[in-house]
Amino acid sequence: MVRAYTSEKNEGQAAMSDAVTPSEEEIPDLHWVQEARQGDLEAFDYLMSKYQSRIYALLYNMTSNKEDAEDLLQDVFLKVYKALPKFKGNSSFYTWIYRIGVNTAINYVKKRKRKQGLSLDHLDLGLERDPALVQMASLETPDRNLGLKELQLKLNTALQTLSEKHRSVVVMHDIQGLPHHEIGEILGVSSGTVRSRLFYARQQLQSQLTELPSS
Amino acid sequence: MNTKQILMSQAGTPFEELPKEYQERLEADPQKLQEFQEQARVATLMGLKSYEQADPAMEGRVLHRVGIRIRNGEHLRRESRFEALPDWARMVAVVLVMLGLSMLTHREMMESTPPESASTESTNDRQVLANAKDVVPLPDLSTPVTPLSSESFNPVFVTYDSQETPNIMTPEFSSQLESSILELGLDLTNRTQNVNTIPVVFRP
Repeated sequence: MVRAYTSEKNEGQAAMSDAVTPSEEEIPDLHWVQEARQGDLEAFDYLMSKYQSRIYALLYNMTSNKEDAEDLLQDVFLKVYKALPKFKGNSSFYTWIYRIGVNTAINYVKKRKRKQGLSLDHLDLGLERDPALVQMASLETPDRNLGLKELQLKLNTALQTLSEKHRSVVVMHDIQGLPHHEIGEILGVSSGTVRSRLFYARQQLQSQLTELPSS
Repeated sequence: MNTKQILMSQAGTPFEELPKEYQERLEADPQKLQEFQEQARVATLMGLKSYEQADPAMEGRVLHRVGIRIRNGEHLRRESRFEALPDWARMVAVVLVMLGLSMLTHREMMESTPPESASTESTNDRQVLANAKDVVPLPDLSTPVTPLSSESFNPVFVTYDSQETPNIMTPEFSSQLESSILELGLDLTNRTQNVNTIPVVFRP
C-alpha cells in the first residue's frame, strides 16, 4: 500500500511537489495518525504494518504463547484506534503504542496467571537460522541433548517466572534492544528504576539458566 | 562511582565494551566482576529470543481481522464497567447482588398474605363439601387385625384328569375359591395377615 503524502484535496499542490514527495518512512507518524483520526483506514493500516512486528514480539515474549499474542495484538490495535482522538502527540506514537501494548500484556498475564501455558508446538523457524543459537546449541554442555526446542522452552519458562514488571523490562531491553530511557518513558518510570528492575530480574533468571552455557 | 553502582548501571553490557576505568574497578573486585559477567551472560541468553519470528501469514491476518472489527464498529462499543473491574471487585459485586436478592426474597416471603380463609372458598368447593356427606367413611385401617390360620379355610377341591396337569385357572376353581372366601366372611374390614396360602386339594 503506497500512499501519497498529501491528501486528495491537495492534488494540484502534490503534483507540483512530486519531486520532493517523501517516502512513507520519512513521513512522520503524526501525519498518519491525523489521517486515521479522520476515518482513513488505509492510514491506520500503514501504522499497524509499521509497528505490528515489534508489538507482536513484545506480546509474544510477555505471554510465551503465539495464539494469545496474536489475539492480543488485535486488541492492542483496536484500543489504539479507539484512543487515537486522545493521542496528544506529547510522546512519540511509537512510545504511545508500546505503552498500550505493555499494559495490555501485563493485564492479560495477571488474569491468566493461574492457567499459564507455554506453546511448545510452535517453535519459530527463525531460531534455526540464527548462527549464534545453532552454535550454542551444538556446544558440548553438561546436557548434550539440549536442542533448540529445549533452549526455547528454558528461556520461555525462565521468563515466565518473572513478575510482569520485571518481565516487561527484560523483554524490552534484553530481547528487543530498547534503551533504558525509552523503556522508562513507556513504563512511566525513571531510567534508574529500569536499570534496577533489569538487574534484579536477571539475578532471578540466573538460577533458572544455570545449566546453559555462556555464549 | 563505586563498583556496586557500576554493576547496577552497566549490568548487561559486555565487559569488553565497558570504559577502561570501569573494567579496572570491576577487576579489582572479583565478586562484583563475577556478578557483572553473570548479568551479561543472562542478557545474551535472553537476547537469543529476539530471533524468534512470527508466522509470516500473521501480519496480513491481523490487519485483515482488525479492519473487519473496526468496520463492524467494535471500537465504538462501550466497555462494560463490570469487565473492567479487577477480579476481587467483581467477586464482591456478585456476592453483594446475591445478598440483596436473598434479602428481597426473604422480605417478600414475610409480607405475603396468609392462606385463604373459608369465606373465600369458591362455590365449587362448597358443592363438593355438600356432596361429601353421603360418602361412607373409610374403615379405620390402623386397628389391629387377628391373623387367620390356613385351617380356617375350607379345602377347595379341584378335579382334573389324571393324565393332565391340574389347571387352577378354570372357572370352577375360581367360583369355589370365591365362595370359600365369602363363607369365611373375609372383606376389607376383616383382613388377614400372614396368611398367604389357601388349602387346595387336587384330586384326579
